[in-house]
Amino acid sequence: MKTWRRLTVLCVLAAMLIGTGVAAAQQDEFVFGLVLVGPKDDHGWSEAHYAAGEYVMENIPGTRMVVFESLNPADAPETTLEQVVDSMVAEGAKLIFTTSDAFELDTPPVAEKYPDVVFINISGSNVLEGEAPDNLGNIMGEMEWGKEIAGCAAALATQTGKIGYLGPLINFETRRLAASAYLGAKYCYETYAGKDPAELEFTVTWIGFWFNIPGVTLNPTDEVNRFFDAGVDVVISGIDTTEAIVEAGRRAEEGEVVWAIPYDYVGSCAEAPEICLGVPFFNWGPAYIQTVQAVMDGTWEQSWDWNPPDWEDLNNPDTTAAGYVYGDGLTDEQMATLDEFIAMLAEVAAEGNFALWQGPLALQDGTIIAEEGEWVDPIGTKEGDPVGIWYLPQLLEGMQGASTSE
Amino acid sequence: MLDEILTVTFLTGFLAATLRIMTPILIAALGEMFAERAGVLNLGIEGIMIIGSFAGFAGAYFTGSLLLGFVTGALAGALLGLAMGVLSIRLKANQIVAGLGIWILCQGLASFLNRGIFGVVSVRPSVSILPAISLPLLNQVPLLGETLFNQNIVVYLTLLAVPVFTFIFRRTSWGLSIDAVGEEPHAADAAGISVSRVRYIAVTFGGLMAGLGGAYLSLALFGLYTDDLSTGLGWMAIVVVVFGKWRPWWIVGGALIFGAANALQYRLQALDFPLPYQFLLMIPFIVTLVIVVIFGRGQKGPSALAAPYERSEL
Repeated sequence: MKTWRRLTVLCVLAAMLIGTGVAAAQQDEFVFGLVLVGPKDDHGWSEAHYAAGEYVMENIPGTRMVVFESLNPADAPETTLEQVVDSMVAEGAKLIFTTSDAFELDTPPVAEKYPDVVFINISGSNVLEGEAPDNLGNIMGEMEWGKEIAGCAAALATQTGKIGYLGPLINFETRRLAASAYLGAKYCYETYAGKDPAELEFTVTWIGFWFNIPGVTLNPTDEVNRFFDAGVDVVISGIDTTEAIVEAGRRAEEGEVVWAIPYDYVGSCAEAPEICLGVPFFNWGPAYIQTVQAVMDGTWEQSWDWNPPDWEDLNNPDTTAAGYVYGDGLTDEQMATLDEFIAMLAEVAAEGNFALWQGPLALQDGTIIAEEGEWVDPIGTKEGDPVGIWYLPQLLEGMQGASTSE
Repeated sequence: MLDEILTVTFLTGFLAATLRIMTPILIAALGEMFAERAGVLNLGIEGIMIIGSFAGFAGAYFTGSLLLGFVTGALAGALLGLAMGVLSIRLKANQIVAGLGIWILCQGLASFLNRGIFGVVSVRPSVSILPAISLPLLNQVPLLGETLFNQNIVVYLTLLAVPVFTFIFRRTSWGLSIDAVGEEPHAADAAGISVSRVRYIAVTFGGLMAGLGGAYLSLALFGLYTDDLSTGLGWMAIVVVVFGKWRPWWIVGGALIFGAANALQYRLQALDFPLPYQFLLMIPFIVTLVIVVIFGRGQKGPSALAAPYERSEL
C-alpha cells in the first residue's frame, strides 16, 4: 500500500459528502407546510395563520415554511388537497397545517397516505370523534370568548338596538360563534346598557362560504349594506375577509353613525380604525410553536386541542390562543365597561365554565338546552345528546337567521 | 463576535462538544487500527457504524437496558467484522471492493431493518441517553473540570483503552503477533503464528469497536435512530488511523483535531457567523484534508496491508 495519501483524501471526501450532504438536507432545516383556504394577506383568517407560520420561523431557528394559498373551489378548482400535500412532502415537509374546516374531510385520507408526516387540521373534530389516523391532530382556539366580547361591544355601541352578524357557511363552529356573540350582546345590553334584552334585534345572515365567491355565495358587501339599510348600526363579521369594516368605514365617511367588528386577524381594524369597535382575533403562534417543537423533538402526540385565551394577559402574542383588541371606535367609558365584562369572563373561566352559556337557554326551535343556573355542556355530541357548545345544533332562541342551510 | 468566542462558557462548551464528537470516531479508529496492523484494510467501517447504531438502539429499546444495547451494537459490529474477514482472508477478495460492499450493504440493511421493525411512524421511538458521570474531585478543577470530568462512562472507557492498547502492542506477544502478520506474514507463519487466525481476530475486533462507536451515536448522543446518524464518521475514522500512523496516541490526536473542528463549526453556526452554514459544515473536513495533504506525505503503513496472504509453495 503506497497510496496512503490518495486513499485518505478519498476517505475525507467521502465523509465530507455524506456529512455535509445529510446535514445540509436535514440537520438545519425543519420544513412545515401551511395550506390556506384564502390568500395569505386577507387581513383575516388566513393571514392569522400565515402570521403564526412567520412567528414559528422567527422563534425556532432552522424552520422553513412552505405555503399554498387560496385552496378553494373558486380560486383553484382543479387543485386537490392531496396534490398540494404531495408537493409539500416532496419539499421535505414533516408537518402540515390544513388551516380550514374546508379541509376537514380531505385531511384524514392524505394523513393516511403520509403516515410519517404530522397533519394538523385547524378547527376540525376528527380526533374528537375518534376517526383520525394517528398522525392527525386538531387545534382550535376558544374564539367563543372573543365573540362574546364582540357582542358586548356591539351592544354597548348600538343606538338602534339592531346588530347584524355576517356569517359564513352554516356549521357547528359558525353557529356557536354567532351564538356566543349574541350571548355577549344580550348580557351587556341588559347589564351595562340597562335596556330590555327582548328589544335587542340580533340578525344573522349567512353568505354561504368563508369569503366571497362571485356567483356562488351572497356578496358580503351587499349584505353589509343591506344590514345598514335596515337600521342595523353595528355589523359583527364572522367571515374570513374584511367587507364588514370596509363598508362600515365607507358609510361612516358619508356621515352615517355605524360601526363594525371584524374577525380573525389582530390587525384588521386598520381598514377603518375610527369605526372599529375592536377585533376578536386568533393567535395561532403559541399552538404552532408547540406543535412544531414537538414534531421536531419526536414527542408529538395526537390530540384535540381547544385552546383557551390567556386570562392573565388576553392579548399576549406568546401565550394567548384567542384575544380581543379594542378599536378606536370605542369610547373610554365603553372600554372601561368592556374591561369589567372581561374580568367577569375571566372569573367564570377560572371556575371551568364557558361564561354566559348558562340556563335558562333554549335553541331557536324552543328546545331547552339548559335550565335556570345549569351550564351547557362545553362539547356535547354531534347528535345533540347532550347538546353542547362545540356541537351547537341550532342558533339560540332570540336570534334571527337560519339555523341550517336547508 | 470575538468577545463572544473568548468566554469561559464558550470554551467549556467547545471542549465538551469536542470530546462528545471525537469519541465515536476514536472508538472506531482504535478498532480499525487493530485490523489494519494485522493487514486487513476494512473500508466498511462507516456501514458497520450505521448497523451498530441501529442494533444498539434496537437492543436498548427492546430490553430497556443501555448496557445490553451497547452489547447488541458491538456484537452486530463483530459479526460484520467477521464477514469482512471471510471476504478478505478466506475468499481473498480485493479488500477495497469488499469494504465498500460492506458499507453499501449495511446502509441498506439498517434502513430496511429500521422500517421493518419500527415501521414508518410520526413519533420516533427513543431511549434516554447514557447519563454523564461527574468524577468527584476532578470535576472541581477550574475551567476544565466541569466538562472533561463530566462525561458518560463510554468516554472514560475509551480514553482508558488508549494506554491499554499501547501496552498491548508494545509489551505483549498478542500485539507482536498482530504486527507480525501485518508486516511480514510469511515470517510470522514460519514462526508458527496462524496468520488467518490473528487476522480474523483483529478484523472482528475492529468490527466490534465500529459497532460500539455506532451504538455510542444512538445511545449516548441522540437517544434515537435515523438512517443518517453516522454522517461520514466511519470514513473519518479511517483517515484518523492513517493520520495517526497506526499508533493509539496519535490516533487520539487525529480524532481530537476533527472533533474540535466540528465543535467549532457548530458553535460558529450558533453565533450567526457570516458564512452560509453549508460552508461551515465543510470546515472540519477541509481542515482534515489540509492536514492529511501536508502530513500524509511518506506515511508508511503495515507492509502487508490490504494484501491477502498466500502461503508460498516451496
